[in-house]
Amino acid sequence: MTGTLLFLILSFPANTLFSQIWLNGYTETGTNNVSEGFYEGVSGQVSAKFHNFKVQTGGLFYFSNANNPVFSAYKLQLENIFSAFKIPLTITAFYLWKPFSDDLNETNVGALLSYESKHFGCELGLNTRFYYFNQQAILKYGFTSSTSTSIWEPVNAMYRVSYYLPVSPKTEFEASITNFDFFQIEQETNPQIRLGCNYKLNEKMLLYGNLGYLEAGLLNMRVNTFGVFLRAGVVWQIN
Amino acid sequence: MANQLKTGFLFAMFMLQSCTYTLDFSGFFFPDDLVDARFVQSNDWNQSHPFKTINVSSENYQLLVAADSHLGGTKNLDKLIKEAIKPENTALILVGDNVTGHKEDYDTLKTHLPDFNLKPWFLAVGNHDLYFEGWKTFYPYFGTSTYYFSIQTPTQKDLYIVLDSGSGTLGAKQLAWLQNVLVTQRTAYRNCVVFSHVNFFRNRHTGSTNPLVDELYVLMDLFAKNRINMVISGHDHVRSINEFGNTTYITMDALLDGFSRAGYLKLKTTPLKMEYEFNEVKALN
Repeated sequence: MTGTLLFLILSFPANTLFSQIWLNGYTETGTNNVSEGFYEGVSGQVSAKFHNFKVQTGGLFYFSNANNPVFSAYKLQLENIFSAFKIPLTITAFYLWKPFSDDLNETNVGALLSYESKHFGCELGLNTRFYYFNQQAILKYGFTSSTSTSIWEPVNAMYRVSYYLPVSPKTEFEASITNFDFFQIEQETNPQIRLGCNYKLNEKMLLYGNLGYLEAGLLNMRVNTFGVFLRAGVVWQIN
Repeated sequence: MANQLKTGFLFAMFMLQSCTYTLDFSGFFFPDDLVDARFVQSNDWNQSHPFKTINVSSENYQLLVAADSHLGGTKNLDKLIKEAIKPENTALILVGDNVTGHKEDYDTLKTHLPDFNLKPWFLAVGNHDLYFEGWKTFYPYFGTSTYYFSIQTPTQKDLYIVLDSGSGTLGAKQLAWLQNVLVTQRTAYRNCVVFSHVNFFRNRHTGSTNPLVDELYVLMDLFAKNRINMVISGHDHVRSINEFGNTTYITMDALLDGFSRAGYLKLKTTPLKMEYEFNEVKALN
């Protein structure tokens, strides 16, 4: 399914339909309680704007000593930019698929409403999550039709609150508290802290960097570090 | 108006005092213990205290399991212990948040638990057990928080693994230990049950914190590949059941005094299957 989607996207005469197209690529390194040392992530995403709509798709490749599949996430999202009471808002619907082991997958669908200003950014939304055995695993383990092979977590809140500090026409710093990222949605009780820097290289290209800190047990009032990551990426407007 | 303000102030002070007795807000910022350090201590303890094997004379046996008693109050715990010491029950397992973390509550727990030789019992650590430097009492009183025990019937052996999830993560060291135990020993046992205070899944909207998703990925995969029969938790105080492949993830009702559905679990093992049954404490004498 992913291959078909990528083929359709790549073969589409995009320039004729979309007014703007962006490529977003990043590389990330980090360590956490389950990565068995440092891990490396590489992501490529493409997004295109048509009137007030924006479609974005991309994937994540993940390399670590733990036994993870290399292709570890695929995301498709559709955004609509609109105004309500003269406030510019964006509503986003997304689909996120993660084959997190050779037997198990996760799928999330959800929606977000976001607001951005010069100094402040905010996103609020909901997602619903499924964990499930893939078809190969169902055969491997010999599950019958009476075996439950999925778990559904009906509702999870998603949030991001960011503060932006422009320090020059080209550079701004950013601090965020959130429970989600490009390819990861944590439970609402597991926030992470992200610090970032965005640098506008020219009219077409933006460089960015993030430092993330993940902790466990916050609302249990027993905070322990879960992991940290460092990310560097580029957003390139190609038309 | 002045009276209303005074009443409001007194109520707020009462609530704050109540909260500060049961909740340790310092854990938001600088917890006095970390899961990796607790695992190192537990591992040291395990070196000098071999994992226990309980021999039973029948192929059928039954365990009682409960969580979240949050002592102070011992009304429900006492009822459960009275039930647990009956001959038909092989052992009692308390899956964390057994106390508030205060030393006097650990003293109460210690004095109320039965003689281990009369009726074996096993404890897991929950987040509340760690409040107010609770680990500094737990460790000298009860020792390890990461261990396993086994039950030997005349023909079969079952494995029971107790994890320390009180910090909302197992930590890298404990996870490596768990992976090693399952890889090297799982095949020697018929059934395998894992006890973890913190529950894994969010069947309902709740403020309680689960392990991060990345950790759940690893644990779900590990438990599926090693055919874990059950993962039994507390923490959320409200029962839920998630059947997932060969593994049943159970969250138990709290044992807490005053909780309307205070309950425990009977875990019954026969040669053919392993079954669970929820029971309410109010049905006990």
